[in-house]
Amino acid sequence: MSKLFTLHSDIFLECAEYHQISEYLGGEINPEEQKFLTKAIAFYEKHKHDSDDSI
Amino acid sequence: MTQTTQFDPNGLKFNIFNPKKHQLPNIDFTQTNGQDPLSVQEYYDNCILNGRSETNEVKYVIKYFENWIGFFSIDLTRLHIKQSEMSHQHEGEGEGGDRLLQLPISALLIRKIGIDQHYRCYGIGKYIMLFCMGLAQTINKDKQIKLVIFKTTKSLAEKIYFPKYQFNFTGTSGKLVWAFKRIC
Repeated sequence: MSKLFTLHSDIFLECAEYHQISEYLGGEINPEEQKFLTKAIAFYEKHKHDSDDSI
Repeated sequence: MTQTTQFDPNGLKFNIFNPKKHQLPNIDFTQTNGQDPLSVQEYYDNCILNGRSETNEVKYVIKYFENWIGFFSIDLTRLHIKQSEMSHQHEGEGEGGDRLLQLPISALLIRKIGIDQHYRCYGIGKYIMLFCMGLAQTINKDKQIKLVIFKTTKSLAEKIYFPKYQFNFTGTSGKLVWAFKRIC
């Protein structure tokens, strides 16, 4: 299991903040976001250090 | 320090911080006005440079060719509604209110981001975001992580993170906001 998955913090948001995020997640992902996500994976793969596999 | 006129993102190296391996210099992470509203300098000095404070999050240090130019720290978090606000909300709901919408939301939290003052105008923040968004997707095999989130100033959210990188931000009236972007 990755080290990162053993770390968990909790953030307590104002009701309006939580619902703003929740509603955003309920929406459709748009092409611009998808493009950013695809670019992000490529960037991560290119720049990650070998030791990142142990995160 | 090497003065750069053109920034080459291929020169960026992201390393998981290892105090036994990485010898880091003093770096100025304050704002140009000398302020440190997000306690970035304090975090770097105490948790990275001097290692005085133990923290659980994963810390990355960033090199640009041979120069150390920044850092960021991450962990996984769960977003909840404050208990006091939950009570108010449930007072207005019937039995079995919409609790599904109030389940904790898992997110990759970027706790601190620090970029050397001398390297502020090269869009390095974007590369940190790309790296974190890529990392979050890569480790998210079970699709539990929904977002990448971090706290920033309202000013930076309005001027940079939203217009340049489409990070939404919470509409709180204070100086600090949560910036967020989904990963799935």
